[in-house]
Amino acid sequence: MKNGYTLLLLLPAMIATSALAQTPTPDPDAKDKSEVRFLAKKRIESDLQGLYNTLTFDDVGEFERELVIKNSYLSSTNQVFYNDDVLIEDDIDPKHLNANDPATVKNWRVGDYLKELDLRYAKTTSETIRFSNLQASIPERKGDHYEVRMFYTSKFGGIYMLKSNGKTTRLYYDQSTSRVATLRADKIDGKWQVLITQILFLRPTETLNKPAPAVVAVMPTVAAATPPASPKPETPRKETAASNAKLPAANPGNLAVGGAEQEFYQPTDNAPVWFKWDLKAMQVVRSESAQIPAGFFRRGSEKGRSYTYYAPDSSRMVVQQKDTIRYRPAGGAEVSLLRKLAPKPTVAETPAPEVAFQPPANANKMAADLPKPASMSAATPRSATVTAPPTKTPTISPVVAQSLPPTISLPAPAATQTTKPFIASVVSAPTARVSTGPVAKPATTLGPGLNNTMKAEQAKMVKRYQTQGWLQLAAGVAGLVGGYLTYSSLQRDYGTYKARVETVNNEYDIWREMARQPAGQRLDPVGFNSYASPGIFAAYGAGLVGAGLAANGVLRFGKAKKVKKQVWK
Amino acid sequence: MKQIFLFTLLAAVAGCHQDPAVPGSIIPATCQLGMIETIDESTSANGNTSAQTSLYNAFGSVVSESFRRRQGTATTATTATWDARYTYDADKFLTAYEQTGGPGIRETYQYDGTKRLTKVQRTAAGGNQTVDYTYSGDKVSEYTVKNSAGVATARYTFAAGILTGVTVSNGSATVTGGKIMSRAYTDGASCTYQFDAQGRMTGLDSTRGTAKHQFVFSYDTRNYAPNASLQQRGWPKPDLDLGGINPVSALTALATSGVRLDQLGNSRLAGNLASVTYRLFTNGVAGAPVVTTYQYAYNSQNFPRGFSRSDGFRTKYYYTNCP
Repeated sequence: MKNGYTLLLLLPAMIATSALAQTPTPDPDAKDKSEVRFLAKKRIESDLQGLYNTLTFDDVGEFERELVIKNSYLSSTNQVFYNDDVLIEDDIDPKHLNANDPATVKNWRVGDYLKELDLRYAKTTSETIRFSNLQASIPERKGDHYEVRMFYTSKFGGIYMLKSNGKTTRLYYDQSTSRVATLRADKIDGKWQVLITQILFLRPTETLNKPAPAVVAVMPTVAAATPPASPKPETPRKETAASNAKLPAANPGNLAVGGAEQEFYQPTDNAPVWFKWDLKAMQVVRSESAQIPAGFFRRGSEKGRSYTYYAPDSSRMVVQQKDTIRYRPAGGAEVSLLRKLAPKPTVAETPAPEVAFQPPANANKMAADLPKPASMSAATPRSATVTAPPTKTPTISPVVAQSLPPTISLPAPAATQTTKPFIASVVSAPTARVSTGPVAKPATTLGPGLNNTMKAEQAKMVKRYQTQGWLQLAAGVAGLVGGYLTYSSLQRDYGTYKARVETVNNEYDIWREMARQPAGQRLDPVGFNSYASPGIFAAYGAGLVGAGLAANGVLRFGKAKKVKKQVWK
Repeated sequence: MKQIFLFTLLAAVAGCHQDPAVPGSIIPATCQLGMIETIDESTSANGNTSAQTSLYNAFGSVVSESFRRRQGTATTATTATWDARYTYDADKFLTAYEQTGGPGIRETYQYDGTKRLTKVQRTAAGGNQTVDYTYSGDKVSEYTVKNSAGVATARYTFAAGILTGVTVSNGSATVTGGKIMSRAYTDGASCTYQFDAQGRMTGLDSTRGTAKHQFVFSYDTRNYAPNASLQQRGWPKPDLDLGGINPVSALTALATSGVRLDQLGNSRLAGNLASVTYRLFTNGVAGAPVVTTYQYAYNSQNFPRGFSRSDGFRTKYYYTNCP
C-alpha cells in the first residue's frame, strides 16, 4: 500500500516528466507506442487477472487448470507470458508484500508460480483477485520490439492455505501489493503481440520513466545482444547480483565432482561443452563455447526433474531432464545446451523458407519442455526430434539472423517446420480466442505416442463433457417436466377448487335473486399463487433450475464439440 | 450434490398447496315462516282454530304445506283439511303446486326461453282459470285472467312495470299512480281506496244505496311475516302489484254484510295491521266507530311472533332458521 501511495505521489512527476520529454517533432512511433500501451494494459487487466481468477475458481477441473497454466506461457491462443522462463516475484504468500526483504521473497518461474497459486490459494466461487491503478510506461524500443512496463496494484481477496507439518493454516490477504510487469511487444503480421516477460514488486526508486535495476534476470531476448543502459541494481538479489564478466571460480570449495563426463553442444555454433555432475556439484570440464566458461558449480535447488548448480558469482547451470543444460551468467543472457547423442538422427535437409521467420527466443526451452503436456505422466518420453542435434542449421534471412540471440537458434528439421503455432495444433484450451502467437515460431511436431496420449486425454475430456451434457440435459428436462407436471396438477386442483366456489356462488346468486331479506355475500376464491403455494414455487423453481441445467447441458455439448474438433483437426 | 438436494427439496414441496375450505352452501340462515296458528274466539267465529304449516328444502324454498281447521263446538264442529306439495325443477323453478283436500287447487307453471313465467293454469273445484303474462323487455306489460272457457275476465296493463289500466267484466276501475283508486260495479255499488307512501291501503269506502262502510287501516313498522319466505324464481320481481286491492282477511266477514270487497289485486307492500277503524254511514249520518286493535310480539329479527286482536282473534307465527 505504501508503494501504492509512493506511486500515486510520483505519478504527477512522471506525467510531467513525460510531457517535458516530448519533443516538438512528432514521434513517428507514437501510434505504435499507443497501441502497445493499450495492449499491455489489456494484457494485465484482462488476461492476467482472468488467468489468476480462472486458476482460483472452484469449478475448474485439474486438467483444465493445468492446461490453462501451460497455455499461458506456451504458444497458444491463451498465451500471456513470453515463455516459461518468465520470472515472477512471489506475492502468493501473504507475507510477501514488497521487495524490501529479498530474503523472504521467492522468484518463481511462471509455471511454478501459477501452480503455487493453484495449490495455495483457496478455491472460490467468484473472482477475488483484482488489479487496479494500472499505469503503462512509455514503450521503449529494443531493437525490433518494444518493452513496456505496467504498474498496477494487485489485491488478493481470498485465503492462502499454509501447509506445515500436515496442518493447514488459512491466512487472509489483508494488503494490496504494488507490482510492475514488464511486457515485450513484437509486431507479427502487422499486429502487435504483447506478452509478459517478468512481474516484480515495485522498487522504491522505480518510476514510469525510470526502470528499476534489473534485479531479476529475464529470458534471453534480442535485447540481450544490445542491452539497454540500466543502472546497477540497488538491492542486488541472490540470483542476479553478479556481473556477467565474472566467471565461475576455479574450485573455491574444493569440490570433488563425481559422475561421468558428458558431452553437450551449443546449438548456435555446435560448440561442444563437457560436463560432469553429481548430487553435490557440477563441473564444466572443457568448453569450446565462447559463452560457457569452465568451472565449478555447487548443487542448489531442485524442482521436479531440474537441478540447479550455482557458482559463487550467482551464475548458474540448470540441468533439465539430463538432456538440456541452461547456463545463465550473472546478469547476462541465458545459453542453452543440448546433449549430444549418438547416433545422430537423420533429418531431411530441406532449406528453411526464406521468409521473415523468427524462431522463438526460447525455442530450445520449449523443445525441451513442451512435449510433456500438463496432464501427461512424467514418464512420457521427450521428443527425439527436438533433443537431437542438428544436421544442418536452418537458413535464416540475414536481417532476422542479426536480431537473433546467440542461444536461441534451435534447428528443427525442415520437414517438421510450419508457421502454424506450435502447441495450438496439439493442445488448445476450449476457448474462442483466436490464435495469435507472438511470432511465427517453427512448430515442432510431437511424437506419435505423445500425440496419441494427448488425443486420448482430450477424447476423455470430450466424453466427460458429453456425459455431463447428457446428465444435465436429462436433469434439466426432468426439472422442466416436473415443474410443468406440478404446475398442471396445481392448476387442475385449483380449477376444481374454483368450480366448487363457483357452484356455491351460483346457488347464492339464485337465492339472492329470490330473497326478500337479502343477506350474505359471494365467496371470493383465493388467487392461484396463494392457493398453490408453496408447491407452485417448487414448480417455478424446478422450471428455472431445469432450464438452467438444460442450457448448461447444451453448452457442455458445445464444449465437447469444440474439443472434439480440435482432437481431429 | 447441491442439485440433488435442490431437486429433493423441490419434489418434497411440489405437491404442497393451500386447500381453502369451501362450504357446501353460503346461503345465509334467514327466518323462514314455519307455521301460522290461529285461534279465533271472536263472537262471530264460533270457535275457529286453524294451523298452517310449511316445510322448506335446504335452499329455502317451501316444499309442502298443510292446513288444519276446526270450527264450532264439539258437537257441531266442522273441519277443513288440505295438504299441498310444491314441485321444482333442477334449476329451482316452481313447476307445479298441488293441493290434496280442501279446494283441491292444482296449478302448473310455464316459462319462456328466458325462464320468465308466462302462464299459470289453475284447476280447482270452483272452476278452472288461466293467467297469462306478457312482457315488454324484462317487465310485465299485460296480465290476463281467463275463465275455464278461455274468456278474459280481467286484464291489467302495465307500462314499465307500473299498472296503468284495468278492464274487468263486472264493472270498471280507475287507476292512478299504479293503484286502483276506485271501482264501479254493474249492480250500482262503488268503492274508493286510499294508499300510503309505502303502497299500503289506508282507507276504503264502500257505498251501496244509502249505506257507506268506511274503513281506516294503520300499520306497525316491523317486518311483515310473509316476507320470511322466498319469491319464486322466474316470477316478476318485485311482486307484481295489481293495484293494491287486497282487503285483509279480517274484513271478510264484513263482506257478507253487503260490503263489496272483491280481491281484485294484491298489495305489493303489505304490513302488520296495527288497527282497523270501522264506521257505518247511513244517509250520510255517521255511526259510532268500531276500533279493532292488534297487539304484537316480535322476535329479534323484527318478525312478529304473533298478535292478539281486541275482538278475540289470535295468531301465532313459528319460524325456522331465526337466530
